[in-house]
Amino acid sequence: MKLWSSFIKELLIASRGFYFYVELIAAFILLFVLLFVVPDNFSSKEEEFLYLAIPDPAIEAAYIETFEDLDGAPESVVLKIGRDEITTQLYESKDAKLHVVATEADMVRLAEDRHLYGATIQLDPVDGQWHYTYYLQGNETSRLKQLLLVLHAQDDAVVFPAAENQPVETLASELVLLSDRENLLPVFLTFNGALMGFFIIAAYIFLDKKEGVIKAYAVSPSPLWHYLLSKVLVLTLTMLVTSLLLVVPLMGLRVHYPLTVLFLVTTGFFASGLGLIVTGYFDDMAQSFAVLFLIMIGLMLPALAYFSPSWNPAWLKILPSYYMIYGFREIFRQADLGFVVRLSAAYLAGGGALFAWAHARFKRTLTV
Amino acid sequence: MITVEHLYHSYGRNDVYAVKDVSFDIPKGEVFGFLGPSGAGKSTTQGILTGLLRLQKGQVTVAGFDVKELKSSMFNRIGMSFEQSNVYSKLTARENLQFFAKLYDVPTRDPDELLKLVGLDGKGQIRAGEFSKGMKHRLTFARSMLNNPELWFLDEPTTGLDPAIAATIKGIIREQNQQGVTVFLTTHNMYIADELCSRVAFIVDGEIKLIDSPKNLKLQHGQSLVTVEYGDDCKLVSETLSTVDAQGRKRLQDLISGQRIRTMHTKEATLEEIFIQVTGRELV
Ligand SMILES: Nc1ncnc2c1ncn2[C@@H]1O[C@H](COP(=O)(O)OP(=O)(O)OP(=O)(O)O)[C@@H](O)[C@H]1O
Ligand SMILES: [Mg+2]
Repeated sequence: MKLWSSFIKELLIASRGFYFYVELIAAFILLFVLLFVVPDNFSSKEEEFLYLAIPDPAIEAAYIETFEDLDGAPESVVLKIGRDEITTQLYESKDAKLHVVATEADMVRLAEDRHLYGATIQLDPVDGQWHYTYYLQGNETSRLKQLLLVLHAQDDAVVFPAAENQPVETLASELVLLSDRENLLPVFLTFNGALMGFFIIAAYIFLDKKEGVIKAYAVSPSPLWHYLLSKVLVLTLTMLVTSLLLVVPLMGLRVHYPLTVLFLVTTGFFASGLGLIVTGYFDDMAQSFAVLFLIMIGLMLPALAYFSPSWNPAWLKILPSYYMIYGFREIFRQADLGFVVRLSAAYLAGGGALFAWAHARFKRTLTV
Repeated sequence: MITVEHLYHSYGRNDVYAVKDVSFDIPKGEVFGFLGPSGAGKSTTQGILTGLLRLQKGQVTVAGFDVKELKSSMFNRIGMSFEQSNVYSKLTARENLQFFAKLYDVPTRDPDELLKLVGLDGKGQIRAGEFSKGMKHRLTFARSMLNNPELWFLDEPTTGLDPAIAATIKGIIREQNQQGVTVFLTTHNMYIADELCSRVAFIVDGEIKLIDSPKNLKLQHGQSLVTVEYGDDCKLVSETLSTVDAQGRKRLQDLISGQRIRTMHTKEATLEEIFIQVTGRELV
C-alpha cells in the first residue's frame, strides 16, 4: 500500500518532469526512423556505371544482350551532377543496375559523384582483346581488388559456370527471416530501454538528491527500498510503454507478446539497477557524467558487433547489453524462446543483486 | 523520551570524532535546546537520534526504541523538520503533505489544516518548486507535524524566516509542547532557545559543556546590571553598574540621591553572553 502510493507519486512526478517526455519523444523518433527512413529491405541491387568502347555496333549489341534487362529494353535516365545533366541507358537485371554512359569522362564523374563503381570495357580493334578498366572508390578491400583481377585472368566460359555451380546452403532454415528493418529493432529496443532507463533513473535520483527528499523519506515509517523500488517501477513501466510503441507497429501480431513483455521488464529492471548504483556513488549529474557516459558507450558497443558480424570479440559477451540485443532478436526470429526465458531470469537475478547493492549503499550514505 | 549515553560518532575511519562522549536525558514534555556553533556536532547527534546516521558507539533510546536496531514503527511517533527544506518541487504543497501522510500507519493531520497553521493557506495548489525559501521551510515544518508526533525534532526551525512568521512558528512549538509533545530543538539562535527551552545543552567541538535551564544559567553566570543615564540637557552621562557587588550598589545610591536621573534600565546577561563565558567560544 505504501509502495503503491510511492509508485503513484513517482509516476506523478515523472509525468511533470522533462525526462518523461524525452523518453516518449525518443521512442517516437526511433519509430519514425524505422517506419519511414529505413527501407523494409536495403536495396541489394548493385548499381554501376559503364562506358563501352566497342567499335563494332553488332558486337556492342551482342554484349549488351548479356545484361539480361528485365523488360528487354533499356530505360533512358537523366542523372544530375550539380547543374549538369547526364543521360544514361539503364539496364536493370535481377541483381544489378547498369548505367551505360555515353562518354568515359561522364562515366568517371558519375562514379565519383555517386560513390559507385565505374568501368570502361574496351574491345581493342587491332588485337581483338577485351580490356577492362575499373574505377573504384579507394576504400575497397584488397579481397575485392584481387577478385576483379582474377575475374579476367580466366575465360568467362570457365569462371561463370564454376561460380554458378558453387553450392550455397542456408543453415538454420527453420528460422523466421527478419527483414532489414526488423533486424534493426533489437538494437533500437536496447537503446530505448536499457540505455534510456539507465540514464533517466540516474537523472531522477540526482534530482531527489538535490532536493534532499530522500532524508524526509528516511525518517518516515516507509522503508528506503520502497523509495528505490518505486523509482525502478516507474522507469520499467515507461520503458515498457515506449518499447511497445516500437514493437507493436513494426511486428504486429508476429511476436510472442508475453515473452516480449517479460524480457522488456527484466532488462529494464536490470538497467535501472545499474543506474541506481551510479547514483549511489555520486552526488549529481555533473560529478557522475564521465562514468555515466562510459557506461553508456560500453552498453552500445555490442550494437556495433551486431551490425558487423566479422567483429565480435569475446570480451563483448560480458557486457549485459550484448544479450539484450540477441535476446530481442531471438524473440523476433521466434527461435530459441527457452533461451530468452533463461536470459530473463538472469537479468532479474542480476537486477536484484544490483538493487540490493544500491540499497545498502543508499542506507550507508544518508546524511544529515 | 530520549536517553543518550556515551555517544561517539566519526565520519572517517580515524579517531577524529564529530561527537565525543555525549550523554543526556530528555524527560517527556520538555523542550530541550541543543545549542552550539556551526560544526559543533548538533546535526550529527540529531541524525543519530533520528536513524539517519548509523549508531557507532554508545547507547541511545528514542521514544522507547533502541536506535541500534531501528524499527520503522519508531517513525510513526517522531517528527523531523530539517534545517534545509526538502520537499518535492514537482508536487504541490498539498500533494507533498498528502503523499507523506500515506507513509504513516497512524492517523495523520489534514494537510489543509496544517498549511493554514503555518500561514500557507490558499497555497495548497501551488507546486513547491515555485515557493520562496521561507515558504518551503514552512512546508517542511508542517510536514513534520503530519503524524502528531510525540517527539519532535526541529533543526533551526526559524532560521531565515521573517520575524512575524518566526513568531508564528514559535507559537506553534509552544502550543504543541503544552499539549505534551517533547521537543528536541537544534539551533544557534540563543533568543529562541531562551524563549522556548526548559533546558539547554551547550555543545562545542562535539562535546557537551553544560546542561541546565536558561533561568539557572542566568542566576549562576549572569550578572544583573543597570544602565543609568543622568545629567542636564546639555550634558548626558551614562553608566552601567552591577546590582550585585557593593561598589556598584553604593554608586547607584549616590547617583539616585545626587543626580537628575533621565533613564534607568536593568539588563540581564543574555544566554549568548553566558555561552561565550562558559565555552570561551562565539556562537557563529
Ligand atoms: N557528511 C559528513 N562527512 C564528514 N564530516 C562531516 C559530515 N557532516 C558533518 N561532518 C563534520 O562533523 C562535524 C559536526 O558537523 P555537524 O553538521 O553535526 O555540525 P552542526 O553543529 O550541525 O553545525 P551547523 O550549525 O553548521 O549545522 C563538523 O566538523 C563537520 O565538518
Ligand atoms: Mg547542523
